[in-house]
Amino acid sequence: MVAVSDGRRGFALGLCVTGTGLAIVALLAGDRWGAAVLLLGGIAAGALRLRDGPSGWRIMPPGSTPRIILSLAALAVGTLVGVYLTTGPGTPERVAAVAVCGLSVARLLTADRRAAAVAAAAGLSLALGTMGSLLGQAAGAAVAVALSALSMAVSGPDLGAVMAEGRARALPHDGSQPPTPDG
Amino acid sequence: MDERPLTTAEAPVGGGGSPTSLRSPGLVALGLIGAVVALLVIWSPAVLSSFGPPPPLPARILVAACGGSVLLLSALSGSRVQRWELLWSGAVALGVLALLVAIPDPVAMAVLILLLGALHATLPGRRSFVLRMRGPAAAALILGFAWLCVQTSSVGAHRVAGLGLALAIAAAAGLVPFAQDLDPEEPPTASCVTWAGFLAPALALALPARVLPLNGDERTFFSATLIGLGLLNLAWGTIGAWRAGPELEAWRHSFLADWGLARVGLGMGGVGAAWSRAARAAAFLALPSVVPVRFPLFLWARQVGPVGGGSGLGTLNVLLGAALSGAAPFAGFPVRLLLLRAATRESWPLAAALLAAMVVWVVHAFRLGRTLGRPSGRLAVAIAVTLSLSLVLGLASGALVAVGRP
Repeated sequence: MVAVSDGRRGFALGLCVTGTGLAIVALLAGDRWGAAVLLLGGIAAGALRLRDGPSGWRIMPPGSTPRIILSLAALAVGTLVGVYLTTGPGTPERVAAVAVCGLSVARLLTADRRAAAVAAAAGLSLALGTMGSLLGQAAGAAVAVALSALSMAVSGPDLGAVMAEGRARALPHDGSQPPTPDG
Repeated sequence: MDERPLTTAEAPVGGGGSPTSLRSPGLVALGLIGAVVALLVIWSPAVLSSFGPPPPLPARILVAACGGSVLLLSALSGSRVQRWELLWSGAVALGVLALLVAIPDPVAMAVLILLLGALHATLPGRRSFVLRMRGPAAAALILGFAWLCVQTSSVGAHRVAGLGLALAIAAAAGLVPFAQDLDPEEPPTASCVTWAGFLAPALALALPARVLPLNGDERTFFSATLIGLGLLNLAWGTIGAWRAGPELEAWRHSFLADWGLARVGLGMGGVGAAWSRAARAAAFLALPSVVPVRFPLFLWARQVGPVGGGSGLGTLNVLLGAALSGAAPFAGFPVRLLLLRAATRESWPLAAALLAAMVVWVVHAFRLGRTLGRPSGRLAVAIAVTLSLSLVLGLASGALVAVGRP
């Protein structure tokens, strides 16, 4: 949901679902405290996302096809890594962690807005937390909440993104140089 | 320098009329908390040991060096810099850095790197939030995966873990192959050099101690990757700084070169042989010389702005060149001596490569010394203090190694 959405409701729901999913995986592994921490972290981070970013859901907006394909590919790669390339107990946790981490980083590195990047970073934090002990899970959840709260504490637009967008608009679509003021 | 108009590179760190800013009351509160956390971690009282093993002493010394660097910059930066904003922003970063060093869980370290990256990426700058999050996100991801690999029973996965840990340090510091561009109009505190010069050194000393002891096989991969990347960064940094056109690029490359020496030292020190102690000591001494010496000098050079080609070298410029080139008795000299001593015992080709890089290094050091212009007033005092610190680090290196026990 975080990967294929561009609206604040989509980010919020995505983080809640991510936290819940990771909590269920931890619960199945018998880690009740870890599950509770991840669930709370996901819900709190999601709730905080409701106050920042583009309004609405904006799920699968035009141009999101690569992200949908990436989501399916991440699940396949996560399964491959979890089942074949690692051994021992805890395979479901590893599949979940690898898949969510891969998707979150991909979203983080390709996002064009700070709200999307922050939501992806919060998802990454939750997923990284599942790789560790209770301390790691607590830190992952706390950082996810802090990241979600961080962009609310920052006023104004992402200057770098605005400048990049401005530069992109200034360039003609055929790749030629923009006209100079003196012609 | 006071007559020039204010450029973007001199924009206030946190507040004022900048389009993106942390709200000041929150910044002050976070800064106070950060300062208290940093003091607690540096002190590491016995009460804290009930929560886990205390942070390694070299890392605590580096956190203290980072604190000194924040104070130095806040007190002695030019009048155009908002010193209080710089102080509180630095204290916030220092607090997260101290937590990073203190927490024993590598996964918690990974998510804190992410938080630190996000805090840094919200500072006003010309690069987008996403662009500035690339290095920290890569470092957190690689560290998480490396820890995942360590926990499995696969021998291959353990080797990947050794490789990943070395790459995570490179990603956190923004070194080659994770190096980012430096925008001349971006505020220096928001630039990528802040990671290499301020945020990553403590992490580089704390991380191996938290994840090690790896077994012999993993340790070999870890050390070999560190040495390989260290040599790459050393060559990239020295040649890049020598050949760079703009002075800003020369500064950026000089950080890569310093980190190259530190990484080679960390790599050789991780092998565990008899001579590795000298290499570890070299790495331990190289990083403190980056934080309170090279990083403040870089920030002050940015405040001075472009220096005309006709300006000659003053006494302070010559001393700066000598200090930055690693000449005796400044801080870089014992680093080079210890590293060469360890390298000659490990392999002569490695020692020859290091020696060649150190010779090329001298060329750009005096150029960097010239970038601070003909300092006067507060800037002259600042440079004198920095040079004194470098001198103390150079003369008291033996005592520092004895205290730090790297």
